Amino acid sequence: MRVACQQDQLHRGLSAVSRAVPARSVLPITQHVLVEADEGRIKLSATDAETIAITYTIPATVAQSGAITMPSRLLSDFVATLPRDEIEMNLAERSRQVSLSCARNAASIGGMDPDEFPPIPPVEGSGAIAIEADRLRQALDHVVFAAATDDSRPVLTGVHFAIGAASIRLAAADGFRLAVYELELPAGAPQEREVIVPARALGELARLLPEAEQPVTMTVNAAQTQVLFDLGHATLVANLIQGTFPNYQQLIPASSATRTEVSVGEFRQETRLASVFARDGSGIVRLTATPGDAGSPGRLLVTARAEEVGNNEGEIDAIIAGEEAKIAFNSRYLIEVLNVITTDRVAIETSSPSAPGVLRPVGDDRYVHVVMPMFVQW
Amino acid sequence: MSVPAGAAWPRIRLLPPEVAARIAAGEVIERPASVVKELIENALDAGARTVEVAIEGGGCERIRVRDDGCGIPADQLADAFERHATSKLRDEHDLFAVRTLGFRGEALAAIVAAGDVELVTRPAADPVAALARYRDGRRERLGGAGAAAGTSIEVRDLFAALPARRRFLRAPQAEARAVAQVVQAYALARPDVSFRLSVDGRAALVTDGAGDARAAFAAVHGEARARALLAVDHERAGEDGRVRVQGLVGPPAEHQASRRALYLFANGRSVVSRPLTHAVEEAYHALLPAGRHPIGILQIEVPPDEIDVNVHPTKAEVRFRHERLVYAALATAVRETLRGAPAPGWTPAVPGDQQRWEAARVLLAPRPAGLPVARPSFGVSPEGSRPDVEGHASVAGDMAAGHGQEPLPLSERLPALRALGQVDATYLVAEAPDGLYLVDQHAAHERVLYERIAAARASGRPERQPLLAPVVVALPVAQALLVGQQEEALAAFGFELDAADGRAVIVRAVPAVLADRDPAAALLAYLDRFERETRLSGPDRAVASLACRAAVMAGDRLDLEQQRALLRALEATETPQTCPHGRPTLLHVSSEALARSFGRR
Repeated sequence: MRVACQQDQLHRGLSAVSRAVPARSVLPITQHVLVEADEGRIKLSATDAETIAITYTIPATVAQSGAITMPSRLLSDFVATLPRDEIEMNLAERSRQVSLSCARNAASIGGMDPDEFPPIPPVEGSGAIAIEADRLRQALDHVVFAAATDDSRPVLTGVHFAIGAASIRLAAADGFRLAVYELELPAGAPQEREVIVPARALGELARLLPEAEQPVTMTVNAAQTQVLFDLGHATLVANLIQGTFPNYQQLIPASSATRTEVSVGEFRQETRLASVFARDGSGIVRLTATPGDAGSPGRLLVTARAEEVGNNEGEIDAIIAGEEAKIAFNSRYLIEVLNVITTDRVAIETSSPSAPGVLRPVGDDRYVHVVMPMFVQW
Repeated sequence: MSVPAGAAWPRIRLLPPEVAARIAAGEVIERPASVVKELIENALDAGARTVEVAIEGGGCERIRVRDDGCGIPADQLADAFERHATSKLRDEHDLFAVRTLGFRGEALAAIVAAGDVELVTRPAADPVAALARYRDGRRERLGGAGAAAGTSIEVRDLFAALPARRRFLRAPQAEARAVAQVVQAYALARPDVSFRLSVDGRAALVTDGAGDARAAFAAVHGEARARALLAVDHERAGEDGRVRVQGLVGPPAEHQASRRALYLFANGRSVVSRPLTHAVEEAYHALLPAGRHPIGILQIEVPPDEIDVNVHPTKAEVRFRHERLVYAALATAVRETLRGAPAPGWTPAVPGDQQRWEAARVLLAPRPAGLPVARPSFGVSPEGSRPDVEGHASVAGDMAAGHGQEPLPLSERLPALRALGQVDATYLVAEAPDGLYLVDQHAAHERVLYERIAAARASGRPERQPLLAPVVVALPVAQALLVGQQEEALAAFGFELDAADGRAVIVRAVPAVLADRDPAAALLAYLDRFERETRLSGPDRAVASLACRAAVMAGDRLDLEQQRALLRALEATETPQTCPHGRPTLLHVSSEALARSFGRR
């Protein structure tokens, strides 16, 4: 193998694929990146051989095609420090030593037999779905954070994709909250089905999406065990999570006693301030909604207290329909959902201090977020 | 021994047989779990296919073990209760090639000395069963009865005649858990035998006896864990003997805080052995997070004449003739299995639990909370230094060697601390008017939470985070028993739990301090912590477990704002200098000591 490519492109490619390299592994080769050069391009691949694989293709001048694996960490760290210039890579086939040179720097890295690299499964299936990259990214941003990070209930570590004829409904839940986003599919989906994609893989996908120049195609294999997201220059393959996702529709309250509409920016700001005080408590932020009367507008009071250090109270204007309401939430849950809402205003629907609260962006009915309140002394 | 003045020394006499029997019984029978162990071994030696164990009152009130084994012929029943009466050995040579679990002929004699016993037994070929009843160590009845084939033995009022022994027993729930551990171990050792354990009438463990080790492991530790296990099979033969290792071990992603889920068996006998455990852990070297231990079942088989099981009264220890061979075989067997996994073929897998691990926590010797502790100085706590910061530690050591610091009274509040940063993602560095402070973030947070949880508990209305939808959590046997025992304490902290079928509980809410993690994980983590929290007792123990679970770990990165919040909260505590276990939370280097160390004074 003899190739030349640009430092910035190789750097970007390595950063992208190295996210699939496991932190620790019994298979030393999974700590490596597979580098394959042919037909004017270099394809980089990495996988944990268990749940996720990422490939990334960059343009290159290929004098002689070939393949080798190199330690991911070492290669990434070295390439990252090189100047923005052309990098040449030469592989001595017999010794599996790769000599890299860039400007006035040179290094030699020992590789392993590319045939030993865990094969990345080909994902072929009938109904590939084309999704516009920035719309997909927006959908993922709205739900991925709500998935569980602990695997005591594996299905909750994934995002449920309910693929319908004209839309995909994405849902994630971790026991305390639920996020549901309706992603429209102008091009439609050829086949209705349900899959659960690991949230971790979707987090990595969301990182890759800003670079995508064409619609992303999503393919699920016939056995419904793997999913492929193809971005053109990059691909991500993930093992689907097997199991039944909870029936979440019944968790979304059908009605509410109080609807409080506030500015997302103000609410987020006040919640953040309060969370500073709530942090060393249990993150409890108390909300009190007081409807306005003839002369004055309604207001939402956001408070937190930590016994030892003091308390914080912030007030924001609100349009309140219904009765006065009191409810307490974990500040982290509020901040995380307010961070992803892109509209100017948000509606908080509540029924009682012990019933789930619902947040909806005003003017965008694609998103629903349900949070369980905390039971506290008022 | 004290002799009344003027009295003659008592004569040396042989002890009456009942007294001798009771002393001997104490060696074999320490607690209800030992009775269960002996009886299960008898059942297995009798070729039982099903073994049912039922206990009441932790086993002190009643233990019943029933099997469908070969039974004892009526004419031999009386002899079975004599000391050193056994059908399993004939002469001394047999002692060096033991193939059965029991062999000394002590079990029944010892049990009879410790409690009231009724035994009903019938070999399948005999038309009627034989019954023997013993009270206060003496035979009360020997005769016929009607019963199914096999042996059923019931022990009541254990240690009623041995008050000294009885005093050393723990709470019934704790004894029940010890029994459960014994039954679990045998259920795993013999997946071909169906085991049933019921505790106070409630089924605690059932295995199907279909011969599948994985199924047995699932019955004890849950489906998900069992599914992840990797099969081990390794045989090694050399001039110095032969050994075979078989079983199941967890992949590196499966691990736990205690060594209790790693079961080792030597020729079918459950053994507790540091060196053997070490051999297994060695195979996981660098694959597990610090302070975590592997899980699995490993059966070691050697020819019967190469193992000495007659080392310890309860036979928990064994000696191998070719120790090194056995350790090497064990380590190699596990290492090779791990090397082959995970199969690089993208088999659908349950996601790993790498986030779930906690960093190692080095705890000092037991010390009740609240007792005065010598304020730590750099010079006297070398354990605190970690290899990778040795340089710093030795500088600190030099610094303290000449000029120790002035001890502060323990209850004294801290001065205002200004956070400067974090070292090793474990310690906070802070400045105060009187010099430099180093704070152990975990210990400090533990102290903060400890006081807060204790206060919330005292208020009677704990803050809690309910779940959007209740979740059913299947618990390991021992932890399910713990939930029953801890019901009130759990509720006082904000857990809302309902009993479900068998070993499962329904979780409806978790304490607010644990709300940042998965509800099932929060409960399991709390119970796991509580079980290992042996240094404290009563409500303190529960509060400390919860605080320890919820606190930031060594290794968690904290931003400056979080560091400030933690220090401010620590300043506000009643006893900021130690964590609930008595470990120091901070080290102080006075401005004066700094100045002296740099030769400024």
